[in-house]
Amino acid sequence: MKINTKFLLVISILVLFSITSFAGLFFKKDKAEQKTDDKVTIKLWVTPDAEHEEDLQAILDKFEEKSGIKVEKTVLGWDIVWDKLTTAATSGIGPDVVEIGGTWVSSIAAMGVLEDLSKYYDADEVKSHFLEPTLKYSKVKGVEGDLISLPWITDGYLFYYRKDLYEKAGLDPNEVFKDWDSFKEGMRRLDAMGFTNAKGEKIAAFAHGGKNDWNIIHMMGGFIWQAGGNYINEDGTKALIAEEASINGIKYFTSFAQEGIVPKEYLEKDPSEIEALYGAGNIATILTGPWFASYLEKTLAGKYDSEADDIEALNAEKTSYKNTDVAQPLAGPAGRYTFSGTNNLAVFNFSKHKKEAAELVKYLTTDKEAQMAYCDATGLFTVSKDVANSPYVAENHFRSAVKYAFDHDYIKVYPAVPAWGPIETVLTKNLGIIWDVVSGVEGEYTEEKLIEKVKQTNTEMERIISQTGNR
Amino acid sequence: MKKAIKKYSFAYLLILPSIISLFIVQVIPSLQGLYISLIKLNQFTFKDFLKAPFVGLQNYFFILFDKNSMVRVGLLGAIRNSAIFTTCVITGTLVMGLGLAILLNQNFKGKGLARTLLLLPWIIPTYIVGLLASFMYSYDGIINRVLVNVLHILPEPLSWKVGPLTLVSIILITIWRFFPMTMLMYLAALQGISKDYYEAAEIDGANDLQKFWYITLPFLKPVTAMMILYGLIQHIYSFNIAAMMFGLGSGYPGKWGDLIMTNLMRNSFSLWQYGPGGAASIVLMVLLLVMVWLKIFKDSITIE
Repeated sequence: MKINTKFLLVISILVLFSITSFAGLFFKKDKAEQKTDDKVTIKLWVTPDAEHEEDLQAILDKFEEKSGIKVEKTVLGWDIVWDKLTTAATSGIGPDVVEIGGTWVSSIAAMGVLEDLSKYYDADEVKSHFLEPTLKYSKVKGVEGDLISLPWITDGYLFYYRKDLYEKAGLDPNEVFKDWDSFKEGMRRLDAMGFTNAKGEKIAAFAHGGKNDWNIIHMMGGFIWQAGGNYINEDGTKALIAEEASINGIKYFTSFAQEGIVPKEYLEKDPSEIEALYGAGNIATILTGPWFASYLEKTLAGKYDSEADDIEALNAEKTSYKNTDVAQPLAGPAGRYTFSGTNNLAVFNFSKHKKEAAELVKYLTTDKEAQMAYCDATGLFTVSKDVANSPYVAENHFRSAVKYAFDHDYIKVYPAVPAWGPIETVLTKNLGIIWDVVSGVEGEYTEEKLIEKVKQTNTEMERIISQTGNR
Repeated sequence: MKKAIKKYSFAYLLILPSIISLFIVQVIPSLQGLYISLIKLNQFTFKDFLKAPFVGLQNYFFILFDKNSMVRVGLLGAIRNSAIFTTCVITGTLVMGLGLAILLNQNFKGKGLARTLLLLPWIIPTYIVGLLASFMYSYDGIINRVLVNVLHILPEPLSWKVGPLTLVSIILITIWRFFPMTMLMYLAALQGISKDYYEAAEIDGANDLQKFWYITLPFLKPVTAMMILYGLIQHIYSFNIAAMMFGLGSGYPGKWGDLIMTNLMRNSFSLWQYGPGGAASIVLMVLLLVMVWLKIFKDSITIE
């Protein structure tokens, strides 16, 4: 009897342990099997681009009204999205539709888990709806399928600057943003003026992050293209960063920090810190995407008034934003170029509702109203030609500037090759190290040291190309 | 044997849940990791996962003997940094933990509050410590402001996150994060030492230093040995603080602050070279096991 009591106690512990361990699985299964009505339910995974989840939900509700297809969305944080995607890809358990950062599409597609959407609609007809550069990742080199994914939302890096400070310095923005020489001259003049903000702190003529700035690769890309260089060739078979033209682009971009125009302490900042410092009146010129313009407009419209803890800071921000204008990328020796990133939508080939999933993708990427609503929610730019040519863009100064860049072929994107994903990782790391050289942390700056780092980057890129090329 | 099992059957049943959970969360993933090191698992074969082509020891040859292996980029520097980091953090946490434990073992007003406050760093999640450290160590962060503007120790701010001070900044914040556990272990051990020993020593005319050296320290030896072992395993695999301080994917600690795990993560898993990454992890695990065996378990942990 005594043993039986002990035995029962242990069995109870084991049962409790098993229940708690596997409860998550049971509940998940229940939820997955739950059917609210007879409608087909599509599962959608998105990244947190929309400022408020309800904005995206409103778009999905409209889709349900029109199509009768229900969409269950899950917002994944950027920190877990890669793990979730790869887990879904290996397990075959995941959403029907997924949002993938453009530069990741090639790598995910190389895993062979994305459905070719051309099975569900006429590829050429669908492609005709989009701005040309945004279609880059709809087809991936070495991966079967004409329409692996469709672009959902895009951006375009442009200069945002304080026109009041430019005016005080006697600078004509049209002249300043004309080419490399005029921009360098303008920034030197702004720096020499020694303007200070309300707190008496010096206003940097131009600033960007460095080591911790995950957008540096995209900014640097613009200057490299302007110089006639590139990170890799279109086939993804050769690293080009150590070629003379690419090095010239890197040297030009880094020269602002090397001369002290970009303050040394800003090289430790991340992109959001740089944008916040611009808002606080500490910077006169930054290079960033259209989300910044959207935030600026919403701030000026009083959208964040009720949320502001520090009224003084909010007012300083409004002053900076009121005086903000936008400028096109610089003309370098080889032309005027800037980077544009695109977030795409794709359907997993293990989806049980591929047709309905493809319908959702088409709606979100091509429907005019859905596109405009999502642009408003994210602050990003439309991929749709129809929307780009509509008053929605024409009547907005900042959106028009992005469209101008698209219309004039200033926009460039990275090659759609499977090796790009790992290469981007290496570039992000190594372009970070370059700022150590530029800021003098590794001893006195010399061009030789900079070139050595670039060559080292080229070697690592070549290794990746040779390793990822080997299936 | 059968008799022994029968005799202790209740004890075995009680530890069964722990063994099952250890098997699920530790043994199976470790075996999976070992198997991954023997297959060609990259972005092209990822969909097949464990069914990816078996390549035997090819990944081991690749990381150990192929000079073009990405895993080897900056690895020697990372090993050197990890050795310095682990030594400094273990030493720092032991010294700081012991000093504070001795203080907390005294009777004074507000002892309970002091103990609670000193435990705070331990209960803050590591990734939050890393994030906060990133802000604090900024060029215009609070550490530089205190050192330059408040204490006037430095004429100008230091670049904690860039250059040679990177490792120092990671070491200091890691010591801060982990000293409470050492302190707690020492405090428990100190409270277990009978006062009779000290009284006897006093009668023999021993001073405070002699009492500490000949009574306190020998009694703390088992705890110290355990904390060194724990520190070695914990800190050689250190990743979170460095990764969070330097912005995960956006940056990396640089050659002065790169650790084995940040290097391994960046040069294999972030590049989707899972096979070589698995192989490097296994090599690291074997090295650590050998080190632990030779340095710790070979000598008995007993009070002489």
